[in-house]
Amino acid sequence: MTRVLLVDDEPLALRRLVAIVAEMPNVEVVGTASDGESAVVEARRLKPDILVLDIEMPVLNGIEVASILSTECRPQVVVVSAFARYATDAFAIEATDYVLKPLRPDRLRQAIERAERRIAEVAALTTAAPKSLGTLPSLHIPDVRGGHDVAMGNIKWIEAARDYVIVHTAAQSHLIRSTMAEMADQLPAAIPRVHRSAFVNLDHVERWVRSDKGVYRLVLTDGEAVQVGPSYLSELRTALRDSKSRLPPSRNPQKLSKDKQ
Amino acid sequence: MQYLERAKPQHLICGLWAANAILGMALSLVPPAESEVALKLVKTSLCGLGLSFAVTALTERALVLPRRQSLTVLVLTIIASGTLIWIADTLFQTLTIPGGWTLSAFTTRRYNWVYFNLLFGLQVIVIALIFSTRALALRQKQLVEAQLAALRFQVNPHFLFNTLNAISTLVSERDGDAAEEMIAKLAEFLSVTLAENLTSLVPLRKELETIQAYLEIETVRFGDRLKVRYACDKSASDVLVPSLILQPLVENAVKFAVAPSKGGAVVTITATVVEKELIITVQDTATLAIDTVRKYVGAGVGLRNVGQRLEAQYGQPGLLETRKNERGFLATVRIPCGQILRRSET
Repeated sequence: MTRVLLVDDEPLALRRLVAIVAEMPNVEVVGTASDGESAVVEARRLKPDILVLDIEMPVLNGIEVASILSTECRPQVVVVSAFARYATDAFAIEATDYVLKPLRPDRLRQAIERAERRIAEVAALTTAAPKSLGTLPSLHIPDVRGGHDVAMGNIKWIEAARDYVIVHTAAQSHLIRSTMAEMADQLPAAIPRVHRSAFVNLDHVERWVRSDKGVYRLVLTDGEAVQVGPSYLSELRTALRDSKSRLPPSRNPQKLSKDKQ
Repeated sequence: MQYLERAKPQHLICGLWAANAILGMALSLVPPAESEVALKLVKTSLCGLGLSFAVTALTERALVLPRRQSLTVLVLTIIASGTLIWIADTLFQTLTIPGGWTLSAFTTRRYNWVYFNLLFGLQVIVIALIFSTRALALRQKQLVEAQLAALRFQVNPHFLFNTLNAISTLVSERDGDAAEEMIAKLAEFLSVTLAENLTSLVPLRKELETIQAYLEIETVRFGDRLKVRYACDKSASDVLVPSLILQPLVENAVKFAVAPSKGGAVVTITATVVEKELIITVQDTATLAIDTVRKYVGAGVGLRNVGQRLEAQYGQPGLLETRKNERGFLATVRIPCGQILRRSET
C-alpha cells in the first residue's frame, strides 16, 4: 500500500484531494493538513511515501515544506497549484509531478502513479546516475542547483501550465518557466505540438482514440491520454504515418491504427 | 479641437505678428504713403515677435497655478507686454522726428496701447487654449492607461482557478445548490470585471455588492478563516465611485491577512460621508499575530493603481492612504461627493 499525506489550506480543495486519492486501489490516505507547519509535523510523524501539497499555504508554503522534508524523510512530492503569477524561474523544489488547479481527477491519479513508479525505481536502485548524455539530444531543465539535462527520448509529453510548462517523463516531471512557443523551438520533430497546451513524443504513443463527440486523444504507454486540438489533426496524422515506417519490424503496426472508442 | 492639440504655438506667434506687419504695411499704402512708416512697423513687429516668446513661456507657467494666481499673472503679462511694445512702437515712430520724443507723443497714441494690449490678449487666449486642450488630452490618456492597468489586477488568475477548483469539488460531492450559488456569485463578479466600459462611475451601493460577491466566494474557499463586516452609512450608498476601485484593497486584505494566517482574519469595510467627502476604509485584522514581515510583493502595485485611478478621475493626489495600525492594515479612500446619483436616475 502506498501511503499518502494530503495538504491544502482551502477546505474544499482538501476534500477534493481526499475524494480522488481515497478511490485509488493500493493507495491509502494516511493523513491531511491545512497549513505548512502541520504538514511538516504530520509528515515527520506519519512518514508517508507521497506528499501532495499546494504551494500557497499559511505559516510555511509548499516550497518550504518540501525543502525541509527533502533532507529528512524524503517523500515523493506532488505539487498541486493554480501556477498563476509566480515570479520564480526555477521552482526551489524537486517534485515528482505538478498538477494544475482546477483539478482533473485523471491528472492527479497519473501523478500518484508516476510517484509510485519513482518509488519502485528508487527501491530497485535502478535510478540512472547522472551521466553525460554525450551527443544525445537533451532538454535543459534549470533548477536551484544550476540545472540538469533530460534526454529527449525520455520525454513522454509536455503540458502547458500558465506561465510554465510541465515536462513529463516516465518517473518524474519537471517544471520550466517557458511559453509553449519557446518550447517549440527546442523540440525535435519527434515531439510535435498536438494541442494549444501539449506536445507529445510520438515514440511513446501507443494508439489514438476518438470519442463520439469527435474528440481525438493520443494514448501513451502507461495509459496517459492527451487531447489533440482540431487544428493540429492533419499534421499529426501525417507524422504518425511517417513514424510508423520507422518502427522496428517486431512491433505490431496495428497498434497505431485508429480505434473507435 | 484636433488642430488645437497639434498646433505649434511658435507658428501662431509668427503668424500673428506677420499679420500685424502686413496690416500696418497695407495701411501705410493709404495716402499719405510713407515707406518709413512701413519700416517702423516691421521694427515693431520684430519686437512683438521677441516679446511673444516671453509671453508664451509665462502663459505656460501661469496655467499650472491655481485659478486666482493664474488669472493675475496672465493679466499682468498682457498689460506688461502691451505697454512695452507700445513704448517701443511710439519710440520707433517719434525718434526720427526732431523733438518728437515727448510725453504728448505717447498720449496722442494712447489708442495704440489698447490695440497692443488686445493683440497680446488675443495671443495669451490662444496659447492658453492650446495648452489647456493638450493638458486635458494628456489627463484623459493617463486615465485610460490607469484603467487599463487596473484591468490586469481585476481578473486575478489565482482567485479564478482556485474558485473553479472549489466549484468542481462541490459538484463532485453532489452539492448542486452550493455549486450553483458559487457559480452565480462568480458570474456576478466577472460581469463587472469583464465589463466593456470600465471607465464608468457606479453608486457605492453597487460597488459594495460586487465586493460582497467577491468576498462571499473567498469565504467559501477559506471557510472560517475569513470573516467580513460591513458598516455603511445610508447617505454614502448613492455616492458615485469609480467601478472596482475597492477591489485591489480587498484582494490585498485576503492575500496578506487571511491567506498566510492559520487563524484567518476579519475584514471590515466602512463608508461614511464627512463634509462632502465620502470616506471608505478597508481594515484587516489577523486573529493570530503574523510574526513574519508582511511581504508586500504585489501589494504595492495594486495600491499604486488605485491611487493613480483616483488622481486621474478627481484631479487630486493623495486620495488613498494606507498604514499599519495596532489591529492590522488600514486603507482609506476619500472621494469628493460632487457627483451623487439622484433617485430618478437609479
